[in-house]
Amino acid sequence: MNRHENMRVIALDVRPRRLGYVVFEGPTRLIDWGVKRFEVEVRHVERIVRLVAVYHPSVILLRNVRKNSSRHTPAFRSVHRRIVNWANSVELPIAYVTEAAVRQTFSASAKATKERIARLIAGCFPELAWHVPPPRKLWQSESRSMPIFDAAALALAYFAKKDPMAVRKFIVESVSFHRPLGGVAR
Amino acid sequence: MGTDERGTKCQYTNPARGACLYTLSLGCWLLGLEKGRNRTLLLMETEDIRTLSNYIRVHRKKSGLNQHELSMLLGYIGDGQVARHERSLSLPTLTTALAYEVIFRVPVADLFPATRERAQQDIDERIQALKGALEQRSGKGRYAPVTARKLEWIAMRYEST
Repeated sequence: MNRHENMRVIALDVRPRRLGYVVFEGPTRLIDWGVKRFEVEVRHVERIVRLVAVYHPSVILLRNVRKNSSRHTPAFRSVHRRIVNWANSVELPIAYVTEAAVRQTFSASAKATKERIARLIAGCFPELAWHVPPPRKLWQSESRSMPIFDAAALALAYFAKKDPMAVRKFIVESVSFHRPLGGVAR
Repeated sequence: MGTDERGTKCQYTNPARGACLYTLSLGCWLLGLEKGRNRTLLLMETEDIRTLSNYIRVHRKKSGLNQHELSMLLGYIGDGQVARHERSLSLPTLTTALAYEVIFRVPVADLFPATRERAQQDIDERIQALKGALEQRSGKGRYAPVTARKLEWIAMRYEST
């Protein structure tokens, strides 16, 4: 058995006032997921501490946000710095996953947009299907549940880096299995 | 669950060490303790504990049920009991554990792996003690065949695992 199959990871999609998280045990076992909204930025770390205390992950996964990205705001940097400082203080490893790695993981058949990635992930994990937001119009804000899929994409991209064939196979098999039920074939 | 330094019950406290992971890690961060005994202790704890104490929350979330609905299925009035089970603040009764198995269609041992693992370790230790005691007994006399049968059963048990 591959040693990554039972590795427990927490993937975080960090926004200044929101935190999307998923907990995986290997690439095929989804343990927990959720989105938390905050009034103050310091709450991010409190929530992460609680998650870490419950799930004891081997690694925390964060998105590698480029400096010229629109996400790289002062508020994001502040939250990110707090998380990294805390993780360093307890010597919990952090792994960064790039946007390119995420897109590469999900770009087997077509261009990997966020919505398409969300639908693919929902195909892999039917328990997330009801979180999939409807197609977004230009004038609409992003769905509140999208951070869950962003975090899940980070986790799957991380596992794909370790064992690309296993993750690709899992995604393709899951999606083809669930395709007749709808929602994934767009 | 254990009791921390102040005597309060806490799910993250290791009974053997009396230290609360949550308090420690948050405290370390808030107090800016970069190095020291607390951090080492926390890291040791993190390395020690790998198995989740239970998977009730995992299966509940997969089913889409909320705690109130699951409580209703279990026959509880409020949802506090389910919350306590999920956070390992209390262990369910045998009837409730079997009810979880029926609801989620997952064996009890898979729902409570840490409890099962602990039971396994305890039983193994006690069987070793029993085996030692049986081996001390005389091979002669009225109870010798029964003692031999017990030792044979212990040997067979180890072979089958």
